[in-house]
Amino acid sequence: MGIIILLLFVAFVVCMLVLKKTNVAYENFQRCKRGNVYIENADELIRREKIVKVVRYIICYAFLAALALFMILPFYWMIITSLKTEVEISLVKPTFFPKEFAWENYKYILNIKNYQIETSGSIRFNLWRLMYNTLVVGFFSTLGTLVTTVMAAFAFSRIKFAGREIIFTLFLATMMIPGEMMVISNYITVVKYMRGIDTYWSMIVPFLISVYYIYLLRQNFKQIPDELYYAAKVDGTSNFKYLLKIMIPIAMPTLITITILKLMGSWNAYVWPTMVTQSEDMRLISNGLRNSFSDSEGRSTQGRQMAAATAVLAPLLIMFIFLRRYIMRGVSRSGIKG
Amino acid sequence: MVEGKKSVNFLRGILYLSPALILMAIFTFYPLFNTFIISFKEEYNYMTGKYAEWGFANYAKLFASGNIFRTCLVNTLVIVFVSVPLSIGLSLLIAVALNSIKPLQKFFQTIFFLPYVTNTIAIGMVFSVIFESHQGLANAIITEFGGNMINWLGGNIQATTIGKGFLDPNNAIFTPQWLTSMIVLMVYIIWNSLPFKILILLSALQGIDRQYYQAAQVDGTSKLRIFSKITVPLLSPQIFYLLITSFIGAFKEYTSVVAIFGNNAQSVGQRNNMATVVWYIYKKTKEGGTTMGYAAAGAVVLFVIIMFFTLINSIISKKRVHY
Amino acid sequence: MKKLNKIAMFLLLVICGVGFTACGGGKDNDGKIEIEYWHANGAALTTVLEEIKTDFEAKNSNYTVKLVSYGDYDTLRDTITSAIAGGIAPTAAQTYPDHISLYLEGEALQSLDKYINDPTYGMSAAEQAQFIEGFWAEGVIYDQAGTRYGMPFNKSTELMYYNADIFAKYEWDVPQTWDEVIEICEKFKQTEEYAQANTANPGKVFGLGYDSEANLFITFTQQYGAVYTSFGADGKGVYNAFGGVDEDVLKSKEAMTWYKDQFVKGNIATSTAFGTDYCSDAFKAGQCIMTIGSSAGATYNDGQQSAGVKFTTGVAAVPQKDLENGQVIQQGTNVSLFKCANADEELGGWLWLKHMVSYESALKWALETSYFPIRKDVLASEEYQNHIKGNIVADDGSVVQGVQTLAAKAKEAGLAQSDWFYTNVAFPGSSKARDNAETIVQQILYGEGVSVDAAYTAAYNSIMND
Repeated sequence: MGIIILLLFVAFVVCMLVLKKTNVAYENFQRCKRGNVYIENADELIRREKIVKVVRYIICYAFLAALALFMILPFYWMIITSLKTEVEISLVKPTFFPKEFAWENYKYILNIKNYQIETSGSIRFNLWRLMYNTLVVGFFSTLGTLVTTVMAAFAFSRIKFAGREIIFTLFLATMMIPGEMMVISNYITVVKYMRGIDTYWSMIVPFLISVYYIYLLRQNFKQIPDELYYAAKVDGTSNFKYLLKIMIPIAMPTLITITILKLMGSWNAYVWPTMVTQSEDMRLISNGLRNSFSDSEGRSTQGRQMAAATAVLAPLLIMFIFLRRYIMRGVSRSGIKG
Repeated sequence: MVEGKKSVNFLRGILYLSPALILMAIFTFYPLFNTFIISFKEEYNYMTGKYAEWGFANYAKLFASGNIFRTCLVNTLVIVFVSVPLSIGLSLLIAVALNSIKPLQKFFQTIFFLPYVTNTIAIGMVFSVIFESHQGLANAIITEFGGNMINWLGGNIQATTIGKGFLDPNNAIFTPQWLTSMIVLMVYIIWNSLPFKILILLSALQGIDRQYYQAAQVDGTSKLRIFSKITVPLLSPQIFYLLITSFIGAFKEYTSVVAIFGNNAQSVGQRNNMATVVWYIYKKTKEGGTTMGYAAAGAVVLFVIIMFFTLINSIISKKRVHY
Repeated sequence: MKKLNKIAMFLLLVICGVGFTACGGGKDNDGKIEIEYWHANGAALTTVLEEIKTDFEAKNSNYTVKLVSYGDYDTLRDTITSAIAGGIAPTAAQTYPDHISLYLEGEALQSLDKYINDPTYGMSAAEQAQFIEGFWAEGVIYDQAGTRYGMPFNKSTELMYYNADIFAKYEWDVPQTWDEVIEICEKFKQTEEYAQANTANPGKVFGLGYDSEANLFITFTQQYGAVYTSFGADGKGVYNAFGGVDEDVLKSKEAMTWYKDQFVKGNIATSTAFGTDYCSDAFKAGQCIMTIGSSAGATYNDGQQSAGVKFTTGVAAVPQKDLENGQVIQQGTNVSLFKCANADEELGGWLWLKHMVSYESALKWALETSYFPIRKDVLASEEYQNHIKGNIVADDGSVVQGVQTLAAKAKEAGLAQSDWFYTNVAFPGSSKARDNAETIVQQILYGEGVSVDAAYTAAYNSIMND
């Protein structure tokens, strides 16, 4: 409770400071205005206007601050839980700040030895191997997705051919069926007919396609004016070259967004990679972390779970902060021209 | 548009689409086709491939009296028609508020995008901490101000429920406990869907030409009028886009239900009162060897419903959306 | 439609080449036969499994075992059912009774009777008699004929943990029957400990907390002499206690009515009433002085780990309605064999399972994990007795008296009630029974004006109609 009040107070102080700053600028502006125009009761009017403006700002910031607090709570909770001991986590009344910092959750998660199974002296299971697998799968599935998405979006937005709208509608319609219905079929396809157990491609190929991203990029491509294409044609540029040299650079923010979202997806994937891999050498990081989620007696250890979640999230978050501009631009493009 | 002969363009189009088409055919269309077929096989056993006969028995079972599928349909429709407008409205408000401030704008933007990258287990945990029926955060605040504890997730016999006066506790679906738990579910769903929506609306707002507003200011138009006559119409393509995608998303709501109310989709002391259509589909794919047919029929029904609403959406939007 | 299916298949086959095997294993490079064993154990338990595997391979030179962990039981089950559909099931796997009946629907399990009576490779009657009856019985609950589809492997039970300090202070005897439990609960309400706990958590203090609501339903139904589930005359499953057989429903309702009465009086509850995930949390916080929970979770009930007043935890058998007819749940997984196209592989799978439940392996498993010994000879062995007493065996073979840990106490107490273990039959759809057992208890105790009768009616309707 205390920490919440503290946060609210900090948010309030920040808001007031900001208000003061904007207020000074506002007053300066009004002073200039007063110099030029003469209005009766000007002072009174301006004062009223000022009050309205200040009140509006206060409401605005209070609204945003309150919602921001609500939005950040799960994130905050994840981090403090990762720093609590299991005893503290199981308290009947939850604590809003760790009584003592339990770094052992992180020590456990980051300790390579906890991912090893020793068989007659040799080590079979290793954190770095899991990382490496995750990177390989993440890299190739992202690259492949970009290729299929760019090509399909180009066809859907730039080439006029019979059946285009029908195919596009069909693609969109697949978004309306829950994915749970497809797992068994796809497992049989990949494992039985394609012999995909313990291969990288079995974790990559089924996920090389995403209707959602095609839709996103298609909207983006559609906004590029046709004039650019005709200009390129005059210069004798081929279609493929035009796509490569003009369309892709223009759509770069969207492509970066897709890259990040896709990487996030493969970083978190769990069920499918578990199903199609049998050897510990082929497993992904999410499988390894899952092992540390419950202790030897089978009960889940929330502290470790949250430490693992935070550790997995950290690279994504850093990436997000650095590429925020691109993500924001990219994601928002999808909304233009419904 | 790429120019060329019709036949050449067809080949060209198919060529560019071929990677996507091949992958879709194997990993999406083929399983979907299977689902459709299975929905007409009675007592289909997915492990052996055996079935009794062709027919509509799976569909008949879904709509038979006493089947939970009705509750699932009702709940899903409630979720769709309450959470989608609310979340779009709220994100519009936030986006406008964000757009009207200068200092701290980037900071708030980042915070409002954080849920997008937060781990789902963590989010589920926080919601159980906030809405825990005994000493959760929400109840702590309510009792601090002298109110009664509220039985958010069920299981607290000392607590009260929202809607106790006007809802019939013996109703098949709409009990006070249902309303109370549904509110929690709505908060979760809306909360989860805000970041993406805010982002889209905010960047669209930032793209609106200042001229429109300046003209309005000269005319002395009130803020509210500016919002309803300029901002909303100019944002209509984005709002429509969000409407379609969130409609589809809300119809497929399932993980949020299981995250808060567990595998049986129920508040403590109730029976499957938070069940949704996809929850039913999921449940039936796991339950037994011969329940797959119900799941498949449920998926087809859901597909038809979503199609129907998407079509209506498109028809309305053709009249209303300003480009 | 068939044609389209065929075309799709053909395309796939062209892309990837053809391959069909009935079971996952097969010949590996050295000409040895590979046995695939799928399980859901984490890293710690897998290490013990690895030792058992190494031992097996040393004794059976023409076989290799491939251990595959799927991390959690749901993923394991879903992968196996998908694998059955694809004709690529493993040779053997770790199974819950519900899983076994599911795989049987897929016609994928091999009856162990085929091998158990084999003169060369089978198990002698004396050997079979070594298994603790309650565990062993769970292998034959899948049809009326009693065909064996599983053998016990990692097993546990429920126990009563109590606050030994409070019991000692007031000189209470540890209750053996529910009547005695209620007596203690009434006495507890008069104590200062109760008053303190009630000030801290008003209305959330009870004498006893039952951790698992589903286990509560099944165990009480059994203790009141009702049948939980059974096979009908047509060989199909009957949900006796839910509405299938009137006599059983009545007894089950009587049990639940009693529990509800005592709950209303503030004597007994389940974890929901404390506002905690597990009763162990409430137990450690002093909200109850007795709790019934899994024997494998003993350390969670350790009063020394309490954030408030630290205390000593005692362990006892689960209280009974009738001590002459004790009923206690036994839970955990079995191991099962799948049908294989290759007879050698199937035989190898049997030999591997036989090795897993052998004296040596079972002893190793019982010593190195928190699970119970599945065999009487393990239980009687010197190593195990030393282990649960906390004794240390020095290098020269002399035994030093040690301190018994709580986990060891739990193992000891659990074994003392092993004659009371019950099993219920499993059949297609019987997983619904457990879900509904939990919901019934929650509805009766915490539902908004739901009567006992209404809860049962709704459950039976859900089982039959959904």
